[in-house]
Amino acid sequence: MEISESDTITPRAPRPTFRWRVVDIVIASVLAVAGGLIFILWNLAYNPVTAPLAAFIPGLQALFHGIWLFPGVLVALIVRKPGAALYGELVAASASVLISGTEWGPLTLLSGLVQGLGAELVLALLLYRMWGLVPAILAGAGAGVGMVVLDLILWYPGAAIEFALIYSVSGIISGAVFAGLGSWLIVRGLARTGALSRFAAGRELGSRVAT
Amino acid sequence: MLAELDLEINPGERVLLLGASGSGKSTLLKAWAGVLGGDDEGVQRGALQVDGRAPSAARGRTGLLLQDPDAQLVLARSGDDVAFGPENLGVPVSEIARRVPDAFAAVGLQFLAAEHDTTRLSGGQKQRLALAGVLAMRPGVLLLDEPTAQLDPVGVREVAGSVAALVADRQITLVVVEHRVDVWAPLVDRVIVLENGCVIADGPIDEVMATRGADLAHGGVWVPGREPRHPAPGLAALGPTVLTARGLAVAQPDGGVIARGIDLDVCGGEVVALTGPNGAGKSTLLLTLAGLLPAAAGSVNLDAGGAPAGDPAEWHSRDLVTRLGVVFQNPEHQFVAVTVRDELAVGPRAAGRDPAEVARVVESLLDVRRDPLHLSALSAANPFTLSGGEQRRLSVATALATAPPILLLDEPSFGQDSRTWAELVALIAVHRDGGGAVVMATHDRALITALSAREFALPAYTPSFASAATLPSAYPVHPAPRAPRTPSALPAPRRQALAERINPVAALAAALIPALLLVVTIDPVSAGVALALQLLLMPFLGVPIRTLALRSIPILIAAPFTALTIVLYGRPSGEIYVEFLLVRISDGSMELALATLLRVLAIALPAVALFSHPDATRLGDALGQTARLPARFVLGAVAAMRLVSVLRADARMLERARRARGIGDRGRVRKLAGIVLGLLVLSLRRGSALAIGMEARGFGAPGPRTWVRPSPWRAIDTAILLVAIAVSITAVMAAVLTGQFTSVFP
Repeated sequence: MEISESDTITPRAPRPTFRWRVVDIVIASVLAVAGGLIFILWNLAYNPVTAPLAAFIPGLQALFHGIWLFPGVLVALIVRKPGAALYGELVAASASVLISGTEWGPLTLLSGLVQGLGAELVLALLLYRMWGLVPAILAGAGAGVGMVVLDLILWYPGAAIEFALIYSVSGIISGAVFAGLGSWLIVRGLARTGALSRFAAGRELGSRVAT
Repeated sequence: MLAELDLEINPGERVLLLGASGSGKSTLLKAWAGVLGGDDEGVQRGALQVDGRAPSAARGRTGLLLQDPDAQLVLARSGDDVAFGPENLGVPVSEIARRVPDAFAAVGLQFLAAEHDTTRLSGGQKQRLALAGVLAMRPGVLLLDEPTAQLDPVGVREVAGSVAALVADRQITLVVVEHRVDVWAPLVDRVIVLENGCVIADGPIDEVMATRGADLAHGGVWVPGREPRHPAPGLAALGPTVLTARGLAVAQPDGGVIARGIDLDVCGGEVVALTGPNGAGKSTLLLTLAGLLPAAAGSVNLDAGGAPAGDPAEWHSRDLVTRLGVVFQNPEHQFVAVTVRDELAVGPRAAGRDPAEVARVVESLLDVRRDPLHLSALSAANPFTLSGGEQRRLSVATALATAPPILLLDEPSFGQDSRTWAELVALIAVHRDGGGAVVMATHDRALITALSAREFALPAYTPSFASAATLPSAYPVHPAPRAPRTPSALPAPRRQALAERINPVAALAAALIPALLLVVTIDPVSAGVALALQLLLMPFLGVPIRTLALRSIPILIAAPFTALTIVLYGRPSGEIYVEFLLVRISDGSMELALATLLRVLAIALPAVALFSHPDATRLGDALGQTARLPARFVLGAVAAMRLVSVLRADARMLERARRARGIGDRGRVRKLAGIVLGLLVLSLRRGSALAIGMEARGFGAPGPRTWVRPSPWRAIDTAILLVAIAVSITAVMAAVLTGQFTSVFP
């Protein structure tokens, strides 16, 4: 065994690729798992108070559901790879199931899958090249679309058209605000801490706010 | 980071790589290990070879051990974790089965069960297990990056002892990066000193220490015989007693009592060091004294700062911050602002000081001429971007900014180099000499001596507890030294319930089938038939009824509410009974509500019954092998799941730190937002470290990987799937035959 270092020169230029590096996969996974943990905190605060109330609201409860959509958009904005939104949302959903035992079990995974797909489709339409505020909000809204479509089919198929409309609009707005704007703000906050230095998102935002 | 470096290390050599912080020694080590990242992250010039090959091609030939024990353990079970590296390199399963027990024995962990939970080990044991994981890859070179920096003295001895035994026969080349020379001096025969990415000294240890010792000590290296100078001992006359504990028992929020019967008095002008073995409850006691954890029994009384005496656990956060300064073990738990300047202002502001006073305090701490913190040049920097030593000084300064009479510190000197250590000692000494009291939980003998601290030794809780802290009884531990069972050689446990034997992918699919098939119709007949058949079949799964009932509670609560929604807002038809704004209760909406109630139960109950025992490892194995999802992603998620307990502890610490900083009284939403952001920063830190640890273990290596844990697909799995499909189809057919079929699309 011999390890050595000498001085032939092979300069290389930085170039973004669509291939996932190990650090992309691991960071996406850890952030998504943290997202799952945050879901559980949120569920503790949200469910006992609002679940009974929600029965009397004509669909407005979806205004709070955007919280469940943030990991997908957040992970995508950070690692900027195809599939990141889908992976982030799916892993976050899985983590919340695995941590809390079951509650809705595989149905939560199904929600994660569909919500992640919603955000993923938006980012794919933008050719995985745009990661600013507007794409983030659109991706959040996309996740919201996924959520309301699944919820209306799975849980509220008997609802009248007015309920379905209010639920849809509320869910999509909530996704745009909490998952879209929220994730974008979080990424800015994270970039300032220098913790994103191995990501293009961190290098762009970090340099802008560096001291 | 590194420039124009020429270096060659020969087989069997044992090298200590020294240098000040930022000299590039860790970068060089990571470059050798092939984990420095790709082209989109930086520029690489020159050649770097291991065995004449590029490091990324020589994965497995170099074994990298890092500082953070939690960054390198990847899987939940010890045996799986050791097998992880060889699996990634595609080593045949039979060969891995031989290597795993060898690796356990080589690091002295032969007593550890293969199933032992890797989150429930002491720091020293974690590092040795990580070393075993490295050894199982059969590397020719061991690269150790400050492997003992985060360990207590017992852990340091354990790890250094294991490494010494490994390199004794000179079959393995050793390169260690460390700033503690004394730990490794007996072992190494060559010392290389880096400065600004260049080699400035290279030779036998005595020679290098003689010529470069002074420079190295100045740069932060702990050079034997050149330890940092201690401040003058404190004042002879102590002040009045400020902190009293009587009959105190301490416990973690979700655990039993760790230490009890504690009587402690702390006076102004003195330093008290809480010492004791791992798990004795030093940190828990410190947090209890700080009013951040409730006492399990007994009392804490704080009488200082001109406020009424009392138990700090009952105080508001904004009162706490004026009377107690708390320094957490990990400074990143306690930072809440975006610049150093703001960070220093948080405490005084929370305490209600007027803006002019806040500004005066901050200016004096950042004063350019005196520069008591050596941070004035960094006043606008984000606290998270500071180096370890800078973060430590800032965390002490934030605690002192409100001039509290008592300073409480948890392992303040962990991971500090000799220079930052000396600066820390000086800061604490100034507080003491001003009449302040200091209580610190520490293992650091030098720190205790330097501050002439009075030692308050906590005994190990009970003989069984000392080991229980590291080896909890939830897992079997073999008493006598013997080879650990390899994962693939696990004996069949007691006959499990059917639900636990099903392949997780089969369980997942079967549980989702009702959600996918029943949704075509919304009628009471199909949902009712499906539910009836499911209830008939459920006993065969072997899940105890009590367990099933408990798990179903959320669903049993939610289903009626969903139905109620439909009663109020369902599609109306027939007679309308109530009409009010959007509410329309009708014959039709009530019938749909009944259908909804049954349907929610028919979709959700199988999910609970079939997926009642989720285990991340089993699920990952099944997704990777049975469902053939991409292994890198599945394993990334499984590894991240292992960090849940770490992140949970982080979240708790973040909340405590906010209380200690004086901002714990804020509204729930604002507090939660702060904790969420803090948790995400810590996730990124831990994730980045874990990525390097996993890559060093061959994760992401090209070529197929092997799987030590089989995930078989048996006849029963196929049968479960077919039954699930049959139940749903029968239910839908029943609706069609009775004319009840109602499309979900209006």
